Amino acid sequence: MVPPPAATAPDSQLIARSLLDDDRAAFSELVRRHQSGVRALLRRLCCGDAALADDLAQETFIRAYRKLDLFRGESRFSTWLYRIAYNAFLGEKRRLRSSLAAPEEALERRADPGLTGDPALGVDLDRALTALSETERAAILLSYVQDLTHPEIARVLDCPMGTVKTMILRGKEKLRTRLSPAEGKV
Amino acid sequence: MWAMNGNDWLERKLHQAPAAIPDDGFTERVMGALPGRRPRATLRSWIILAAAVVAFLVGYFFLHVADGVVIALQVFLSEPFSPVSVTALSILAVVLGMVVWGTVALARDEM
Repeated sequence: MVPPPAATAPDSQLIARSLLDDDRAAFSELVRRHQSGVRALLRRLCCGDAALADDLAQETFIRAYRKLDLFRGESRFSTWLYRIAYNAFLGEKRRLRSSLAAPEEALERRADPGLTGDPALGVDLDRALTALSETERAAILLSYVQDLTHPEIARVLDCPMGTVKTMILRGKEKLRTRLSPAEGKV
Repeated sequence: MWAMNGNDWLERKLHQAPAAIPDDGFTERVMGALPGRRPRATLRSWIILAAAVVAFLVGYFFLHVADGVVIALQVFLSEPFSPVSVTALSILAVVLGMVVWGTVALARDEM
């Protein structure tokens, strides 16, 4: 039977073709399909540093390719990718902790205002997001921007679901406090 | 219901979908940076199995590991918590731990 073209094949089929036949076109389609979500998450985690985020996104897909046979299909492929991306972010952060720009500084030199529809709104939100811890920020982004469920977020962050709920609640509370003078009292 | 209203505006703001990031050659860069052909899972399993067999043969016939294990256990059984038995078993545990760790790392990473 002739396999469907890569562009219309489901993720699971592309993964199988990539694994069994080392089909580069299939893996290329997976990258094309998921690059936007992974890069958007990493840009926000990196406080808008697009160059660093894209390096980490590239590293994410290379790691995914190397470890593709470890993907068991217990979650969506995108969830698995977000987990690799988050781990890559944490690893890079640890490695470069001293040389990474402070979040506020990174925002100042940010070159890409297009993460949200309205640039001004996006910068406000991104600035407020820097007040959160890394895990709170990741939990909020995964929940509201990437639309992951709580169990999926728990899988990405490798923590219990109760912790995810707490982090999201705490993160939202901090965001509300940071943003409310301008936005909330309407 | 201030809290509800407060959450509403915050959730609206958070839910504003970010614009999709255009590929702009990203996929090509990733594909260009991919490593060479990945070893098949079956090939990997065979390599690990062969390595384990070779390690067993070398340990058994040349390093007499089995004798060492028997002696360590004998010492432990005769004097369970003497410094000698604890030391011998600690060394044994470290060696076994290294073997297990090495095998797991080998299985998880590219060879």
